[in-house]
Amino acid sequence: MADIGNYRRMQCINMATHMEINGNSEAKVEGCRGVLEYDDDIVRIKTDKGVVRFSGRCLAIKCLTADSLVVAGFITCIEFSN
Amino acid sequence: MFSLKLVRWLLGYVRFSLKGGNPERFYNYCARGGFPLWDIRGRRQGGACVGARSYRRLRRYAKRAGCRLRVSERHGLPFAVLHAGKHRGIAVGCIAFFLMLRVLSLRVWCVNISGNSKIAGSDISNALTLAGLYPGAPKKDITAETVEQKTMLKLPDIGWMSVNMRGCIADVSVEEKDESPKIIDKSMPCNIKASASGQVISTQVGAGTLLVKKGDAVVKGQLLVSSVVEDVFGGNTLKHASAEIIAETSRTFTKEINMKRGVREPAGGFTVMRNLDFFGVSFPLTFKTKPKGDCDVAACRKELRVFGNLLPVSVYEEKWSRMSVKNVTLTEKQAREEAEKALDEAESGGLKGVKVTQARPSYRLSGDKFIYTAKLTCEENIAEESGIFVEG
Repeated sequence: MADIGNYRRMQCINMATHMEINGNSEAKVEGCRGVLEYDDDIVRIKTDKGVVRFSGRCLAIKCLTADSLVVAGFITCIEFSN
Repeated sequence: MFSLKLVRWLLGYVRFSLKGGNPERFYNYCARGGFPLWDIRGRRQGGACVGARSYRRLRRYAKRAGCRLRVSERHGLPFAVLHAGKHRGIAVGCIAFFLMLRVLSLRVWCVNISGNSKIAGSDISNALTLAGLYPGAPKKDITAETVEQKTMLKLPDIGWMSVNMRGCIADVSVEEKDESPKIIDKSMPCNIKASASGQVISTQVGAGTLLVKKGDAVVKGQLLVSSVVEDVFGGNTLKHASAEIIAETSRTFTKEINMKRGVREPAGGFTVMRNLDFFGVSFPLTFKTKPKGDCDVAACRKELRVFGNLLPVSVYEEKWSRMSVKNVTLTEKQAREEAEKALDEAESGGLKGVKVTQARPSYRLSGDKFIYTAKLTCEENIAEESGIFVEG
């Protein structure tokens, strides 16, 4: 049930935001609007229609540009919220 | 990824640390301002990498976010060159070396022409230049077949040629056309007549009827071998006569030499002009002009070779010597030596095929002229074909 909920959330967040996840070690996000919170275990980014939260260990933003970023580390959870 | 790292390294980048304020806000300001950051560290350590040129512009964002920036590491080529200190030239030289190596490897360094004997190398070189092959030409623009075709059209005396690119060196092999032999029409009957007066020494007949024998004296135009051949049945047939009739002939060699003459001599003083040729482009090394008046010029080109390979660098040198005309009078001995030299040249040049067996020289003075006369006894082939007209 939780997976279906996440799927529905992803659908409603933003169609312009494109996310590419490589295993649990890297996530590329295109169409982000900025970094809200950044620490070793949490990275929270703003997108057009919501907020994406990456949780894990040794998280780091490998690259940050005006509309994209790359989060690397040991990702354990990705949450979407409006 | 490698190319990205290479570009970053070439342009230079700094790692800075971030203290206080709101780091996330600072990162967002930078990203929106068009200054991409990478290797961003979390809140505890704080810091990121940015292009060396962009770092100064980040200060205003740091101020707005309430952060303090401090450069912790510098990386890349600009810093390496900067830190080289006294040895900066070495770093610059290394960069220049690799850049030049890269640029020069895309061009033709030299053109080696081989196999030509009659056609001058400069003519072939000019034709190749018109066809697009010359030192400094971009290698990608050269198609061997096209160059060969264009060059052979310019120089019809070339029978075959091949252009081979060996790295940056173009090897051009040419094969000149052989002259086609003179075709003798043996179907047409002809006689053999004497081309000069003399005494027959030996005869050798290929076809025809011999009319003279050894020891006979012949005059110019006399029939030596007839084309009419009689067979065993008494019938006559006309042949294309061929023979070698060696006769002892007499020739006279005369040479007039002016005893008084103007001789050009170096007047002292010369001007040397040098050019450095690099990839076919000349750079003057001296800024002197050609001297006025009567001058002689001697030119030479010093080419640079490494391991037998011609490099596209050469020094062209012209030495202009001032000359003056001095009136001199030759002695009889000098005049005779000059005349004898002319006789030797005539024997090897104009009297080709004639063997001089005896020479009786004599000379006399007529005013300012030294007249040298040599009566020559020669052995030569006096057989000369003379066509005959046959009706029907």
